Amino acid sequence: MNKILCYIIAGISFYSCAKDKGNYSYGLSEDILITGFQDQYNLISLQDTLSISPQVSSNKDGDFEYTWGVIENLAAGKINTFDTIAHTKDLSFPIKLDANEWILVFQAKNIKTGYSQYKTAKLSVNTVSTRGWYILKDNDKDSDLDVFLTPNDISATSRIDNVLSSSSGNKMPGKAINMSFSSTYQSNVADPAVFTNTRALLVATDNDIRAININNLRTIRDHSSFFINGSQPIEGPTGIFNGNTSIYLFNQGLLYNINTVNQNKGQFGNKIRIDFNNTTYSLSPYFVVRPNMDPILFDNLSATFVTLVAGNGATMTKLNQVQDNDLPVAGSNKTPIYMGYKSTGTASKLQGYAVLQDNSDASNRSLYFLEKDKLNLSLKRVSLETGSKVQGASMFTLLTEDENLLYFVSNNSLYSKNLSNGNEQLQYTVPAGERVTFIKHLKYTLSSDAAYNFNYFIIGTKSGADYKVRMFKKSSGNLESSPSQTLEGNGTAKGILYISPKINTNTFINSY
Amino acid sequence: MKQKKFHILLAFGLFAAMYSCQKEDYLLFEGQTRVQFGPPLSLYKEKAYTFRDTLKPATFYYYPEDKIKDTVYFDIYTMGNLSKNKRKYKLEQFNLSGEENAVPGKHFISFDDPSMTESYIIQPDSVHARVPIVIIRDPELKNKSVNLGIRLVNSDDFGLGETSMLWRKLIITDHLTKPVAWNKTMTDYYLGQYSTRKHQFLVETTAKKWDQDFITELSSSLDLMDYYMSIVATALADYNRQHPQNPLKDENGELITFPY
Repeated sequence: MNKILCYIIAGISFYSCAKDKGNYSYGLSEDILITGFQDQYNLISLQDTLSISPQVSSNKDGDFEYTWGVIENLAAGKINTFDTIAHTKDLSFPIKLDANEWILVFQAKNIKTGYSQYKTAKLSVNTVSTRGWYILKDNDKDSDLDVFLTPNDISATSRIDNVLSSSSGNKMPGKAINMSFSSTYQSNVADPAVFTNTRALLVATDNDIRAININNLRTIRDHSSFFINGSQPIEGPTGIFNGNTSIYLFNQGLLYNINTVNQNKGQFGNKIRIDFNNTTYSLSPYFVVRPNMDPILFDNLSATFVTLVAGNGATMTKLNQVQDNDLPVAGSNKTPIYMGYKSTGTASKLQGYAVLQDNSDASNRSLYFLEKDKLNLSLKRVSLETGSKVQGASMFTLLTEDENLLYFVSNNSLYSKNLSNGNEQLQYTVPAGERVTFIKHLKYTLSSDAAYNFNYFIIGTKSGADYKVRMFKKSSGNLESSPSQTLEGNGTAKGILYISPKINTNTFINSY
Repeated sequence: MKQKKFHILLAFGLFAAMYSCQKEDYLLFEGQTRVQFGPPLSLYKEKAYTFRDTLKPATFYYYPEDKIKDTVYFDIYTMGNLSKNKRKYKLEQFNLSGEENAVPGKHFISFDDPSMTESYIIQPDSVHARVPIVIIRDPELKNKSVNLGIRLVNSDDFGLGETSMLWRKLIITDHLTKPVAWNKTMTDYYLGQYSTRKHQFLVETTAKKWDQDFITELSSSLDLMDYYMSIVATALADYNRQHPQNPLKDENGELITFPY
């Protein structure tokens, strides 16, 4: 027995050491160089072809084989897979990928040596609908969207008319009110069994509301399916906007919300009560809101400023009066003809302005600075000098988080009012024959999309059956003498947004 | 010496303690097919729902008066080999001490009634079946609840499974009863303290049963929960505003409220 064991151990020992033959390679390692390759490519799906002719060289004798592939980038919760798209050196790849951020991978392998070199590039794929200026317009009866493509920079190069009705089959009934973008709207368009965040355009007219899939501009929900308890008529005052953890809807002066923190099916629930007695109310269509802050809302019936705490719950909360307020938060004799967001004050206070009209004298207007600190609302009157053009103005907007100016339209001309010193100044006179249909300050400052950044004051006008949307740069709050670009189309322009693959719910402030 | 005795006793004590508790042995497959109750099939693989449906309420409250029988289902699972033949399992009633027990023929159709015995079958090539319990609407159920203890017993085809999975309890009534899903979380955050009148109010204002299944569904769909709570809280506010001298109270005279 011991002998057998000895043989086994000897056998193992015999094979456990191998002779070092010293046959190492001391030659130069292979260095494969790939050039002719950009760091990033921006392409439009179903329209562009990605063409790359890389140069591949090696310091060794080589016979190369090539592989091109794409990997989906930033796909949280997904297992990324490598899709091979070509085995040629030169790539000619008609883009049919989904709108998304991708990584393009190129591999050159020297089959003589077995060595490979890789090169990657960012591949930003858009559809015609995922990057461009969106104009919300109507013809007094129905509403639709036009898209102006911006393939190179923020300048529009071409226009696609009526993209909503083209993709969804019909226009939205009613006059256009407003639109906002949400990246947290939940739908099951990707998988019928699962509701997940969907990049969607939320649009309100005075007769319809829609959630529109930005990737294909198909309607996800309209007024017939937007409510848990079935179809509901949409009637004024209406409006839709994003706020703290919620998508808010005004319909018939009542407030509805979708809490985007909770799992949901992208539907509004029951109306939010204004108090625990379910008192009748009718909200003003104007609001002050910014991401992560509860909105300032106003009930026209009780003249009360209210909010919805944490964007949640079944009952609004009346805001608290602050000592030395120039106006009571409840029970005044005033009605807003404008409210809007201005900025975030110190310690994350929500600041805005309101133009209020006296209920007993419609020609008597006053301007107030609003500052909400948690549930406390400070209301400070801003003096309007005798003869102020604010008294007869028809449209208002604020320079959000920029110069301390209120812009307004009076007699079809655009004026600014300096909110610090009261100075009013003519900024732009609309050409004869045109009528102003909306004004808006919009800026886009995402550093990850720097080539497309802008800070424009935008004026929409109508002449005959057509619209013009002029975009002005500004200097110290004053408009440059001529617009940077003008978009033109058919219909009455009522609103504008810039859509890109980089934006999310919080990119643009929701405000009139 | 005293200390030595103490240490000996302590050692005995520890030894006894170590061996006094033993985990119940798992039933291992030894050739005999067995049967036991379990959660609904859709939840069978969810560990957290192993004991779902152990206790189930059933009420005739929601049905028209001419409905005198109803069928309540539990779920049963087999262990061991499949069979190409139908296999029978057997149920029997057991008495629940301290409870008013259901009476066969009066509150439910007895399990050995000829009309029922063919219902207690596992179909060929199947490991699961729904166990029908036919309950009877006796007039006295308007005012009280009776309890039916159900347990599996050995049959020619099956032995018994895990001890804890061999029984079910069914509460039979013809009035509203507090669903098990109206638990502490529901009480604290949404529905408040249970009362029959409050339960009636929920049913009246939403046309939903607010029974075990419905509240369980709401628990996993907070958007629906918010929606229905808003409906009932608004209806309550309207009722109280319309009846300022007589706000809604429950059967004990307490004001009905919702914490939502």
